[in-house]
Amino acid sequence: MSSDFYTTFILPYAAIIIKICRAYTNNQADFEDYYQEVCLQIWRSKDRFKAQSEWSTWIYKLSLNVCLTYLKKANNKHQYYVSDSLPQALIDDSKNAGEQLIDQLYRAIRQLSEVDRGVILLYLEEQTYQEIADIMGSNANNIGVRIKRIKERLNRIMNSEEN
Amino acid sequence: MSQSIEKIWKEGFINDEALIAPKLNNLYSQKSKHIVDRFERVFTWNLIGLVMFAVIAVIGMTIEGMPYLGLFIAAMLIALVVRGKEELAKLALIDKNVSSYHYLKSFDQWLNNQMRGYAKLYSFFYPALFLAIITQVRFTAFGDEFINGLLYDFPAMPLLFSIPLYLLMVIISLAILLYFLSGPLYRLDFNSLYGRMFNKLAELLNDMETLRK
Repeated sequence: MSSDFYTTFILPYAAIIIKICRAYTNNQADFEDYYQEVCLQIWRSKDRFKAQSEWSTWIYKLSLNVCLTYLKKANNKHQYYVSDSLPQALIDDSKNAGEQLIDQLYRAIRQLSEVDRGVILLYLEEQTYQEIADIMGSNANNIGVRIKRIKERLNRIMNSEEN
Repeated sequence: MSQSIEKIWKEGFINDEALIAPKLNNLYSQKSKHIVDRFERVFTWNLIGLVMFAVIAVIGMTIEGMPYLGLFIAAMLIALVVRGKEELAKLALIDKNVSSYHYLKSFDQWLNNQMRGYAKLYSFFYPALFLAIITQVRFTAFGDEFINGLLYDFPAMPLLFSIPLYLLMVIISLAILLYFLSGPLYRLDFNSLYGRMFNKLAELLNDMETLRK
């Protein structure tokens, strides 16, 4: 991969990849592996990009497909992201409330099924129901119903963690 | 929880530190851990292995004085390679640029098709290999000695193609047994290698199909 391609076509969209990869990994090493793999697959599949959709939508789709079908080795289970593995009481005070909450939300998202993680990430990234349906291969009505259920489940998980 | 998850998400990334991309290391030398790429890699190595084995079979069997058996084994292995090359070409057509459901479905379909195809091929491969080995052994000094020994012990045994009939029936029964066992054995072998991936794919597809209903 040329560094030009990475700088021009991937780096500006790195936030999307980072947000998705983080939801599918439990630790920093796995996260970096996933990120690397997504970049590799974007580069390899770039010629198949059809301008029918936005490049960013394509990145969402490809990142999800790669994360869903990544072959993760079952090691490093003991390592976690420094912040979000800690019990609530021990969370680093230097992190602001927003960062602490996002860690908590990620922990909750990781408890969902792999498909549900994809759906809720796309929803949180403000993709429309139709866009999510197109990416996941479903229809907008079903996506709406599923999102409602996922949100309820996430709220339950986060509330139980707070209590 | 006082804040909505939407608000948490939006405010959680205000600080850009959370979104710093990790460094890419040795991307050229990195092996992909993606299911399709890994399959392609393993498949390619399997095919190379089969070609090497075919060459060794020809040379080895010729040295041992069984050139026809060597050629026969090589021909069968090359048939497996040709089939494998066709499968590889189909695998390359799987597009990641489609919806997750269609992508997983295409891959699952490819996996099942190639497993079915190989299982069928192996159903003929193993019995044919077994019969070829038996035929070759029949024409060696050991084969003559064995049959003469049998005829000495059981002189009344009927013969067919100069082989004791009961021995021929045992050989044919074993070949038939191999025909029926080859497919399941291949699947068992395949599952032991890729079982984890199969389970993951089945789970994902099941969930995706629920989402579509």
